Amino acid sequence: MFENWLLGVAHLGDWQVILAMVFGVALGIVVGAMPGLSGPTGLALMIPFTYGLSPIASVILLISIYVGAEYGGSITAITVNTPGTPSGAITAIDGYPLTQQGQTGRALSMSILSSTSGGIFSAIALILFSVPLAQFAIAFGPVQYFALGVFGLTIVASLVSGNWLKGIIAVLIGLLIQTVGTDPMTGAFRYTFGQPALWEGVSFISAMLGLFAISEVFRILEVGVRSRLEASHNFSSERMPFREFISYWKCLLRSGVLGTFIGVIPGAGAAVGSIVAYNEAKRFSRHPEKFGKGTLEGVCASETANNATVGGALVPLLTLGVPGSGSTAVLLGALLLHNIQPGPLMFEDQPDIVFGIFTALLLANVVMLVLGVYGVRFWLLVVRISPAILAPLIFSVAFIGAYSTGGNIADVAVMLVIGLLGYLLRKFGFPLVPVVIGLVLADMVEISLRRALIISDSGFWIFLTDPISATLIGLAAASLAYSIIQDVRGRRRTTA
Amino acid sequence: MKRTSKLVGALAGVTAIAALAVGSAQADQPFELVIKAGPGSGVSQLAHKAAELLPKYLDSDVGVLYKKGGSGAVAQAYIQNRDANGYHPFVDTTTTAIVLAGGKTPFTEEDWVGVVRMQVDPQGIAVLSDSPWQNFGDLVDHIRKNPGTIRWTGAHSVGMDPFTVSKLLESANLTQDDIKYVPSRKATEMKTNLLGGHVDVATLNPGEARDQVEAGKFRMLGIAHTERIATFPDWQTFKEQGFDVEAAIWRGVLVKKGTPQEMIDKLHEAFLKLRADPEFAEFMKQQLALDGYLGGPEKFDAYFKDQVKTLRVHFAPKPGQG
Repeated sequence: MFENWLLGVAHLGDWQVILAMVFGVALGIVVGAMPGLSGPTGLALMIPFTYGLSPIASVILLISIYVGAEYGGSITAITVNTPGTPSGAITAIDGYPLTQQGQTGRALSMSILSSTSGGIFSAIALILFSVPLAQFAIAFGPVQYFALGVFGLTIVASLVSGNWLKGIIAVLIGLLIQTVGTDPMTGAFRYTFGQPALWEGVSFISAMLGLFAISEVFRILEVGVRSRLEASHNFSSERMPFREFISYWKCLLRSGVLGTFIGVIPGAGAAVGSIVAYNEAKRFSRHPEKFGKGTLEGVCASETANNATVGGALVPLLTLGVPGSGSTAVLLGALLLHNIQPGPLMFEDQPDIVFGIFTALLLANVVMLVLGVYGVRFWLLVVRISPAILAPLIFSVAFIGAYSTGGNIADVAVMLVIGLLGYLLRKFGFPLVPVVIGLVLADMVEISLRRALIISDSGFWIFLTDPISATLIGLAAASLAYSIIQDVRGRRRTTA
Repeated sequence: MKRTSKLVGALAGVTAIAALAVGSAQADQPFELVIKAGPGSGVSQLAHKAAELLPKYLDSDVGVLYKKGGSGAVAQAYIQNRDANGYHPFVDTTTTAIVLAGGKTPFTEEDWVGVVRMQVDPQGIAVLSDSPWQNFGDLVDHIRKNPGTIRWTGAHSVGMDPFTVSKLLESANLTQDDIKYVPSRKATEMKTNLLGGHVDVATLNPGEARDQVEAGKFRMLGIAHTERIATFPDWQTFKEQGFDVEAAIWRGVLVKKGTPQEMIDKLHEAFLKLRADPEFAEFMKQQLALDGYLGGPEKFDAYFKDQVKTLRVHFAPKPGQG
């Protein structure tokens, strides 16, 4: 193993490789921060540029983009409440309230430090345990995915404490939006109103941009430009001292472990990682009441976990040859173009590439830390931009984002309709994040439930007889019961 | 000094713009290869490779345009709303034949003209290598003895995979009710579910199953092709095992109906030269795709229209099925 490692490290002496890494991380951060440009799109756009590079430099460039993109999503989430990535929506729950309280600098510092920690944690896990983790990845079939989805949905309970009805309605809206399109099992059309543009359902990017970006623009228009301008004067660029960051070690470790494991499960992805880690952080926190109102713990959990899914998602790709996320799927295509075949044979046939990837993953996180820490002062400027400039900027970026994902103008129309919906929801005090959680999980829950029932000989009992599924469902029930009890107790205390 | 360098810069800029303008004026109208699938898909890899190598054979620029949505309906509408001049070739797959056969788009196969079929990817089925079944016959025996227990996955519930599964069952005198058909959405889902033992049989193309077969994880029980494929000569066809089933995904080029014949011939000619290009041959080897060339445009056109009609009969609701 040691000599393979040396072979891998030897690649990194090449200036091309180092340049690819720095450029890749920087580009990844921009791609992640831009709503509409996600990791997979950024990777796909860069593939043609790798033709002239050596295989190892190409792989490192692409992995660096992937690493940067998972962090970049938090920047726009914290500063302007327009998450650039699905998992950024979870970061925004606490990140944007922190900005409203003038703590943007601290939130951004927390985001970059915890992203790096999560990334490095999962890289180490990948290096040490990739083979046993691969067994964990394939243990997830339809039955287990359904249980995981249900577990993810229980986060809503802890998000909407005190406002049950509105929270549940918001989740159901998210689930409902995802039923539009082609039925995944029978191929029948559902709620497509005869519009071919809706056959493939509502594009996730359009929904996110509508809910967050467009509704924010409507809100700025309503509140008026002046008020925001005044508010943004009294914010602090104070960054977080490293010693304070270390005091979050429990949250970092827990979210790192959760993110890595969820990343390993093919198809679960960064958003599910963030959702579960956020939920657990709140449950273990000494101040669960602060979640959603602007606590650094929330940012820590979400950002550690989504970067930890990167190392996790590489496990099934490298060991089984099966991509675990959208980004790794594009990565697989790129690797094949360079005659690198990931999979069980890769460790024997191309050990230098494997260990090159391992080393690069660690170093890319360090590069991201440097770029991120120095970047904080620039991103702070975003908050100072007058809403008179910001609103049209968000508006046009959202239009470009919605159109560019598929070159389909109907996606822009869908975004506007959902933007109006998002504005109305905000206006009547419905939380938006449960809608996103419904959107993210609907597909997984529906498809795995229906597939599991085809496979099952005992109907719904299969979810309780399978050990992994039973554990997850048990945890979901416990998590739900716990937040109900907390809520009732909290209410008693306030009324007493 | 400073002023001179600025002046030089400005001059260089102007020259560059002028050069670009002249360059584009000389070139012909650019070709736009329209695809309906996302980046990373097999057809997008084919389109990008074609866009890279075709300019020298077509004498003009070639780009790739993604038009996603509606299982290709958006891409179809995009091309059908433009002049039938052949500058927007549809680089596409079997899925369009399936969508047209389904009759849910405003278009039919008569709105399209086939230009050339570039690749075929025969259908196949894989099981875990430690499973007791050595060939398709063994699996059929098992299904016959234990009807309704085998979990068999394929992509979607309408399309090439379920078509292949039902043809295979039919060839063994079995029906859909004798197995549990589990629709997946992607080959990767099928592969993880097979690896984890969540399903027993997966419908996979040779390229999709290659890595796991080489690593000793999967066994190919058969491929639905006329003959064995050169890269894996020990994989039996269904035909030689006594089950007369042939099914393949194709990737090829269509244009809007009414495109002038000389344009169709020009495109066909260019793709034929592409097929002979050593760099393209290398790409085909990597993708593990088989050469799908059928002959002149009229051959592929007839094949395409015939396929849509066959699939239409297959998809039509059978009497008694609601």
